[in-house]
Amino acid sequence: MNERRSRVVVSARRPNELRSLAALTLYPLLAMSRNVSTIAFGFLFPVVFIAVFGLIGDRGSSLHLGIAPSSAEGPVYAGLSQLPGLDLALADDQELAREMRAGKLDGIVEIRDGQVLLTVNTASPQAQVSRLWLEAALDRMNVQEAGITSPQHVLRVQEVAGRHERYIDFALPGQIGFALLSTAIFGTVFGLIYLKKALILKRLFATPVHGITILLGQGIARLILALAQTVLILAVGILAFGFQLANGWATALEILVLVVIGLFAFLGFGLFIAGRTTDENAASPLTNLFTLPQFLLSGVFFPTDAFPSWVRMIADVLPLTFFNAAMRQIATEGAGLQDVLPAILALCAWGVFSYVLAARTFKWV
Amino acid sequence: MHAAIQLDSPGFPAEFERDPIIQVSDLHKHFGSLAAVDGISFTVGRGEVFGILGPNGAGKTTTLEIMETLQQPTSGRVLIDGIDARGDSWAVKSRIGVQLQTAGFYPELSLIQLLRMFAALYNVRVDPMELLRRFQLEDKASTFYNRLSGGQKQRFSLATTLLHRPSVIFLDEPTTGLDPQARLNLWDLIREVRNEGTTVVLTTHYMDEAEQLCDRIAVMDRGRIIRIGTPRALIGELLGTGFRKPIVRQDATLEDVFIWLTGRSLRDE
Repeated sequence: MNERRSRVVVSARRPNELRSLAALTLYPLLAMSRNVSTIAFGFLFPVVFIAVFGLIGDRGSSLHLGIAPSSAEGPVYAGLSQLPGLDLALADDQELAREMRAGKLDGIVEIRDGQVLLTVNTASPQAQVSRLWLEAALDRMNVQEAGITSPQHVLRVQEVAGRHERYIDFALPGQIGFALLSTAIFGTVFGLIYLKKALILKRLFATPVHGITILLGQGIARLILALAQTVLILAVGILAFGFQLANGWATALEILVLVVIGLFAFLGFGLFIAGRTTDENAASPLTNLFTLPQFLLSGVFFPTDAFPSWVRMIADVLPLTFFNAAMRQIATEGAGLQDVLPAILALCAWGVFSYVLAARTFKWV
Repeated sequence: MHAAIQLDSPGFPAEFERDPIIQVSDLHKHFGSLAAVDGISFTVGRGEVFGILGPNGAGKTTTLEIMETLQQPTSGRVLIDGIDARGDSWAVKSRIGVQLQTAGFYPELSLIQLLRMFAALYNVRVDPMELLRRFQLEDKASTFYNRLSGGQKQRFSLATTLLHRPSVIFLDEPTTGLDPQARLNLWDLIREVRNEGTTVVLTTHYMDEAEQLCDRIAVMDRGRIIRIGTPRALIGELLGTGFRKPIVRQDATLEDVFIWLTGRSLRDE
């Protein structure tokens, strides 16, 4: 018995919070990266969406107008057929009418004695664009024929009217928001509930580590994931679909900073939802209630302008709306972080609100 | 107060009482109107294997978790190695090792990775391979936790409790669900740990386990400790009441037959 007691080891080293934090970032990150839903929601879906939108964007960037053989002659026709991005399909009147009804054509052009008659498909989102393009093309011809002496001004107007605003330019910033909200909410909610259910959180609590260090590690791990997603989405957009960053590397850096701000604003809601329960099924409705309206209303897949005003009132205060708007300004319009300060402040306000909410209701077990 | 009956019959290892490493006094834990732990007091001696027995819902796990500082008691006091568990829970956590009833590990991490993570959390330097070798898990070093068999999981869990050389380890039903070979093997490992000077507190539903492993046991029911003593003393007390088991002379049990037929070697490798 004495021999037993003599070998008692009393070694209680003070915990090292920094070492703990590093371990609680690295190892959960490793575990997350092996998790199928993390990879699907965070990496695969956004890239697939980008690919789909990239292809839509390419088709949408050219106008599909039909023209009957009887109109396909003369200087006006020659001018139109040289327009880049304008696809003039030759077919007889009946065929043209049929394709128009089927939605395959954006409009039908008829040319008689130098007069151009455009019949637009009102169901096509390109109807207005078709009009503007044709107007611009005809203006240019008029200008040339009339020999107007101050052409610079006119040229500038034409350039704006002819600019390619492709769907990918709209879709890509939206996908960054989509991936970010997925990682911040779905990842946090179901990840944390799993940690509770599998008693991983409890086992960690049996070690001399502070709860806040565990959560901070989770947060940093998600941040690393979110940054990796953003880089991937940008890389696919730029390399495969010709997405252009407004100011090159500076824009990329500002996008990443905005992602950091966005992640910490969204993370609070993840903690709030996951903190209240140990049951995925109980968390599911609240998770969807928080994410679905934002996926639909916050300008992820389509612009918010088209909504009725009362829907816009809701959409305009959602955190993802602020994030997406700021992201678009930075990514495609070349704004700096200082230009989107109101949106950043709004995100911070949402963040503070969510952390207060989470802190009041959070249950560790 | 509900004082536990302390037996003072021959065979009671009085040395454990003289050098207590855990002192629990008048501990209560209420969940709403339910008293999960209803005024219990006991001490565990340094170097002892102390078993807490009782039916489901008796309050064993709650008692364990209060000692592990994972739950706060409603009232009462727990001293671990002289430190108040409610006061400096971090000092307590550095001195104890904890095995939960189930899992508690990232399933998608390898054993080496898990050990490195826990080493960082306890702020100790260890050789993970040496620890794995000791628990016959050497060849599972890069296997994910969720690929282990039940016995391997329990051995690994035991290994993580010892990482930082704690004075006390708490094992919650360590052999539940294991096959006889894995159970016998785990008993050997627990005895080894005890022989190295670590105090062991465990809960169990198996009476043979308590009899084989424990220096003393506490029997809990409905949140109270109804008896504490050495297995021998408790059996003696029962016999003292005039209890006699119908005598069926049996020189071997079915478990002996099972081990005789299938051997002691572990099957989960």
